[in-house]
Amino acid sequence: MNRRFRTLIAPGLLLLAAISFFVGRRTEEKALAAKARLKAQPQTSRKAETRPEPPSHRQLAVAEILALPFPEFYEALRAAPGEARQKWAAELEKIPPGPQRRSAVKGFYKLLVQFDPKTASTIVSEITDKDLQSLAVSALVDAAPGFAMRDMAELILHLSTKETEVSNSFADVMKERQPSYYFGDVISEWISIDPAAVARFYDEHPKPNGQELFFNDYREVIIAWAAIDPKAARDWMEKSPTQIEEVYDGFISGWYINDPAAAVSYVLSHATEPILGTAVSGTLSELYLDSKDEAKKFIEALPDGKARHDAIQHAFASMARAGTAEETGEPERTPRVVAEWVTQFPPDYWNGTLRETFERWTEGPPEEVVAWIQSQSPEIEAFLANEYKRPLNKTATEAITTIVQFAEPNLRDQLITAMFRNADQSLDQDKDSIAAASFPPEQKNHLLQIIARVEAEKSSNQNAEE
Amino acid sequence: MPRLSNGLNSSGIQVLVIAVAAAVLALAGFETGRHSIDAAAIERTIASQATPQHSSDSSVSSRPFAPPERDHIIIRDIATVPFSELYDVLKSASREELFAWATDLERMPRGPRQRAAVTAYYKSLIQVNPRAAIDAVLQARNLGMRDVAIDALTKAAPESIWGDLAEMLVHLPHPRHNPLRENEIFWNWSCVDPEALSQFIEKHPANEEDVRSMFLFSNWGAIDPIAARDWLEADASRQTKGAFRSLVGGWSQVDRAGAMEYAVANAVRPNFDEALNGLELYFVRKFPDDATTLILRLPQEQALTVMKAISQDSEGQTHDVLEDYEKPPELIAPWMVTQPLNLWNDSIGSVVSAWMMSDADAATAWLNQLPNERRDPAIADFCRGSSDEFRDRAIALGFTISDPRLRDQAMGEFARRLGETREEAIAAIDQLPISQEQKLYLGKVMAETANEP
Repeated sequence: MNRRFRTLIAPGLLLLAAISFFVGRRTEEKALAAKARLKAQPQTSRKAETRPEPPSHRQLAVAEILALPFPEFYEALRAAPGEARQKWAAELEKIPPGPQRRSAVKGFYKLLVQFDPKTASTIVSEITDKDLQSLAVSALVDAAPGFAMRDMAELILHLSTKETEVSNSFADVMKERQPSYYFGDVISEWISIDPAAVARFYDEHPKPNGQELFFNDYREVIIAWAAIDPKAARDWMEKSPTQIEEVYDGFISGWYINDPAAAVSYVLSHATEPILGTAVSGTLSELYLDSKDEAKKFIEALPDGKARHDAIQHAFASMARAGTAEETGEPERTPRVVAEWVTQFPPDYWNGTLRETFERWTEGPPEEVVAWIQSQSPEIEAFLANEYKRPLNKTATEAITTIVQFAEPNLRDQLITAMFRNADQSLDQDKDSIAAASFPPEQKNHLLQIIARVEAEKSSNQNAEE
Repeated sequence: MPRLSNGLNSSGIQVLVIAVAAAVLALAGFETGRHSIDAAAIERTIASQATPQHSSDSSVSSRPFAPPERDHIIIRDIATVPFSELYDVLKSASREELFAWATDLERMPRGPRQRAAVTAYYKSLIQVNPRAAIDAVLQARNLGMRDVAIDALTKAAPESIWGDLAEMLVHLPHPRHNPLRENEIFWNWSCVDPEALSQFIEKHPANEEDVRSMFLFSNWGAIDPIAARDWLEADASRQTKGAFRSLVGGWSQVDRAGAMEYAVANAVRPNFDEALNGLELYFVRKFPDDATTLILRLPQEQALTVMKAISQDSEGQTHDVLEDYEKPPELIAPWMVTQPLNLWNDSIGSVVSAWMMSDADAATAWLNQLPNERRDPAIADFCRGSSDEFRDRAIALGFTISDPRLRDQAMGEFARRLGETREEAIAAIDQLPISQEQKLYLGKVMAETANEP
């Protein structure tokens, strides 16, 4: 071996060692990576599918699938062929009545309707045990997803034609309601999801359950439809058998949801037309809750004082909620906030419109109302005193005690007179309550005189009306 | 000096040595290379590669809610998404995501779309993750939508979580009383797990008679009457009229003999009268023999009270009242006259009057076919309490009472009730379409004072 060759051998061997090193390294990397993937793979695929292997339906009885944890129950039911679902449904019928059957039936049908409403409807319509069928119908209707509403409505119509006289004992009424009981629930939910489909359904079934549709049935569809597609809703409204006058405010209400500016503009330009009915005040209510500034502009833009007064009257009659903002969670609807907002306008706009607000306010601490009235200017105070109304949960004696305790002397008679004048019920009970109260005799006489005056006034007004 | 020859000098040997050395070096290099790898690092790398892969898989399955920036748009269309798609998404979502979607739904513009979306979301979520659904409701700020959500939960809830829903109602901030919804929850709970409901009532007692107890006893009495009874007996505050009535009512649905034993044993207890009346009425309507057994086993005073109760306000078939409270006179009257006379001779008149109201000819025919020992007292009691409406019927029947003493007494009371005063009554008799002889008879037997009907 010559010298030159010998010189080359050493680097050659080193090169060989280096290559071997990297080949070994690469091989090990691949092997480890493969191993790691193998380890990771089952976890990844389980997570990706999020579905456990469904147990075979052939091995399971209905009691067993119902006892499974929800994910497995769900997978078992979803994976089972139609025949297995039929088999389980048949097994349910064999469970004796009681809590176990109730739970099983409800659980089974509440889930089945979620992904196969047609099969669920078919199975339920074929149940011969009326109690069981009623239970199953309630489960289907209660849990039905939005896309299954037509199936539910059709099922109920189908079953309603077979309804027979059944017991209406308390327990039976709660437990086994007639299928027709659920019709309103289904339609109400369906309207929110697809009013156009409900409109078609009404066109196909003008007398569902054997009864003519009521105008309110049309109105509900129109509100929901106008919120999505005002033009289509209007077209249907004009063709529907109901009187447009009866449902037009519903159309405006839906339109407002879809396009508030357009609806408000329309209402303002047609505010004096009778067809709008309560739409003006309805729009004001919506605006008040959405934007007080817009509500204020709306009131000012109404054509005349009467329109403003009427709008405020109806918009705020039911706006206030008894209780504080903390109690109700609706700060915009506390009686105080409502009253303060309404009274920012001239008294002509709101005079006579705050009785219901006071009625709810006086359910709370009575001194608060009296103090608020007294904090107003003398002119406004006089208007407000005339609106005072006591709540249903307090007697005349309790209300008077409060007024006497907290109101300035010059305001007391005004408040008490208004309280009797604005009372919805007869004043006979109030007279008895005052007679039995521990007021001094002269005060009792004074109060009874006020009542007599109010009664005479009411009688005179009634005669004038007649 | 001659060079040593050790064989290594031969070129063949040299090649062999080099080859062996090369092989050893190659092997050593390979092994060294293998062992130079950090196995843990490789696993970490693979795992980190796997995670994005899973995430992207998940995003495929959760297409309706992804990409994340579009979540708020897509969740709002949830009402039309099939449950099978929703299930996977809701199942794999974190609690934070579930709450975020709930909050987004609350912020949708008011209207039917929002109602539909909220309903669909909670109907699905309550089945997949009840705890998250309830917690989302507890956190809700929009109270109107919270009501919609609670309705959805109540409708779609699995039977195992009524208790959780009941607890949710207790802890709701700004609670808004909704009796219909609350009844639905408590009724359903009492149907499947009355014992748990009893524990809930212990934990959250009511100050007055509450509907939860009535639901509880009505169903517990039918499922496990002994346990229901023991729970009721354990605390005097539970022993209200409604509780006794519901327990006995439920019990009688599954064990009439047991319910009867309990009723007889407790007949004189305070607050037990409505339970007795209800049980007797139920038996009269459905099991007349049991009705007879029960009335005969009751102490005299309670038996008379029960007879009065089931005869009062008796009326024909109507759909306005629940069957439990219906008192069909055509069933009650025939049953009454099979009992000892002293139990019904002061009660049957109002039942006959009610029957006259619904079918006067049938009632009259029934009276006329009775043997005299029952016919006479039945007609007598009818005449004593008869109103103007059935005056002619009372006269026609009253004159046919076979027992003269009973006839005089019954017709005397009937005549006296024809006017406020005796004079008015006499004047009224004169106007009756009857013979002069009959008028004289009525005047003669007329009682001094008018009895209350």
